[in-house]
Amino acid sequence: MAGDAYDYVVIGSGPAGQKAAIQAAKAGRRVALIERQREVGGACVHSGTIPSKALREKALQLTRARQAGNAFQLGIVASVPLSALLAGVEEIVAAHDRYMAAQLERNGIRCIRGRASFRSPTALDILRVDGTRLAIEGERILIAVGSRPRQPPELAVDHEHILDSDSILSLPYIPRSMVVLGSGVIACEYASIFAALGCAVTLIDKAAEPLGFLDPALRTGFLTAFQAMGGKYRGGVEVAGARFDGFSQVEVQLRGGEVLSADIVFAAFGRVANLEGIGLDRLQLAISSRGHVQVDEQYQTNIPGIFAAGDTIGPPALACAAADQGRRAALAALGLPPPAHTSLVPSGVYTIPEIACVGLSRSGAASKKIDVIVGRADFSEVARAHIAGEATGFLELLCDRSTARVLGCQAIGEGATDLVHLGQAAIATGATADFFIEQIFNFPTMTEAYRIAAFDVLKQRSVPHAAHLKLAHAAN
Amino acid sequence: MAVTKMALRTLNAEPAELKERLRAALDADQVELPPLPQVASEVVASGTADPRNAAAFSQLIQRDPALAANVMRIANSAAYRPRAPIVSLQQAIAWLGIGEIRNIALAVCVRGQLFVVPGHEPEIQELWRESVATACWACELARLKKRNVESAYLCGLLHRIGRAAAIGTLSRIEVAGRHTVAARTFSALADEFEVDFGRKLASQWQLPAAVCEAIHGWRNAGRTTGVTPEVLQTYVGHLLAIDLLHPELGNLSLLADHGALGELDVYPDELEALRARRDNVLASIAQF
Repeated sequence: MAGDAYDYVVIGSGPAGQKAAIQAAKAGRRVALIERQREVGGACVHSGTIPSKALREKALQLTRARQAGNAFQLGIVASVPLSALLAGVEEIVAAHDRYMAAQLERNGIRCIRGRASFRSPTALDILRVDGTRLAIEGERILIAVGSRPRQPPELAVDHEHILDSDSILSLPYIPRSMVVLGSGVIACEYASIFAALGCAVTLIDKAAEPLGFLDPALRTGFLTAFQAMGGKYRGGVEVAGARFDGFSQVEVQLRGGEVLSADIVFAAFGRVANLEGIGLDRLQLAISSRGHVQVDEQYQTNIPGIFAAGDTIGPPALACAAADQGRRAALAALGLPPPAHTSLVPSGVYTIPEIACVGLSRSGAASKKIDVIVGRADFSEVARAHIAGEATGFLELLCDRSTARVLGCQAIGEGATDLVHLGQAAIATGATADFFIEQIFNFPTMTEAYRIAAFDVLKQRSVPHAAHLKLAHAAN
Repeated sequence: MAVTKMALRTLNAEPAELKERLRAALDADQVELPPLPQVASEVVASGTADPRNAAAFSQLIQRDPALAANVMRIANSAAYRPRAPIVSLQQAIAWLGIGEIRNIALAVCVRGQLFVVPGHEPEIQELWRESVATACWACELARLKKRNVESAYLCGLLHRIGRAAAIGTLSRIEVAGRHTVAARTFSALADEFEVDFGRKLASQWQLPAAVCEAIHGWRNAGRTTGVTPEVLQTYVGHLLAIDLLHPELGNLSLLADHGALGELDVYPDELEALRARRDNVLASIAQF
């Protein structure tokens, strides 16, 4: 067993681990990155973010091709195998893998393939895929082992008839019908993608509405679009179990006795951290009741020198947040000054249509008792949206009533996840709604939505507060 | 059935000439290969237990009494341990699931068409057992890594159809020429023409791309890069099958030498857990 010592060791090569390793290497430290899989990138690249977004793009292309086919009286194939839609995904993933591996190499990071487990707070034992072992030491260690789909005990996910987000893309066909269990981001993303592909999708969850963390306007926007594609949402429903009938259908038993049938069931009950087998029991690391590693504001665990970031530490479980956490954790571990703290983490939901928000929400403003004006731009008023044939959706700016300072931004519609970044920049720089009126933007672009929303803010600010409230009540 | 076309009927037993004539016949598309029965064609065409095809598929089996009887026999075998004797296809489907019935039906059809060669029973039977075992191991690997199980089964079951077809053709040449090809020559020619016959059959049967790749590439999967997971699963499944059927050959060491397990991200403990399912695979082989 050959040993090696490093300044900084990262376990896991997802967004958090990768960015942490690069940050430490750029600071001149000797860095090792341990990854159990053949390729770097973690679930984000290989079974989650990248493949699902690629499928989403293909679903949109197919939908547009069908629409164009109707418009130009061209015959477009009604049904396309899922495998055909996923044909280019492997190349996308491979390209991502190639440039990430090159980036790590360029920065002189030693990538070690294997499973790591702690022998002590500074020593790791690595089991390679060929069965050989390697011992290494790290002055500082980052746990960035990611997460996997949670499997509730009442549901046997067989990956053939009852699938989760790790196996859904192995389906070679588009089912006629699908029951999606859950109402979070992953559930709604896949539900809308399959609905767009022509599958009859029923979303089921205990929550009254899907995507409960979003503002009501966004939730309603999603539901309206989902239902327009033939999707159904059944809230307030609890699942007792599900089983394949042996012939062609999966039966989902609801508490109360009702049984629903579908070709496929997709279970999306959140994710759990991959903490098994890394020897945490030897360290007595503090773990939360939900199975996440507990960290302080510098991403340090209760064991000095051991840090954690990404899905390992729980919500928001976003790739962008994980990458930022990884960078900050590396800087903290190496005693380097962190960049200015920002609480601005945009949320992107890649449903059809896209949803994104950043900064203050309506509910956030209400709970913090911040008086805000919500300026709204419907995409039906935006020239570029009509040109693109995507005139459904809206953008909202949440501004402080007294100063017009932009505090929040949210959008639903095609391109929302990109569009919201301009609002984020406005929030970060302390801009007011006037900024969007004073600046000259390209035309026609979706940025016009900001100008329309800003004018709406201005208009409302010109109305006396009491009168505005009265108007608002009347509108409700 | 007319076994081979005229071009092959005059072959003598000289290895060099036999080889040359066989090559010429293959190139000229003069080799007659068995067609794929409709049931099997339905399985490979969709490549999956798509629920949309379940009802039509069970009707298709019912229209072929011999096939239905074979499926029933297997459904009643010890491998599936029915609680009570299964007396109808519907009951078999309810007990085993349409996916398993599809696999059984495909296996029965392929075996009937390719893996019955009078005069060469031991070799062809061994090849069949190896193919079924490879399919089972490939399925286990696919389940472990959350990949498509149906595709893994197809690749495993059909990966050596080229050899079976080559054996069948050589045997028919023997019959037509009323002579016996020396065992060594016979085996060497089957080796040499396996891939060519596999390619021909894959084209004639319109097998899915993944199966074609498995037929062409499984032998070198452990030594080349850029190989698809299906091909790697077939290769590892094949080595596990040989180890199961002939542990004395020590073939499993090849797994350590080559990088296939690593390419599939299978760690030693996962391989051990997989191998612990050997009784299930043996039961599957025994059912045929």
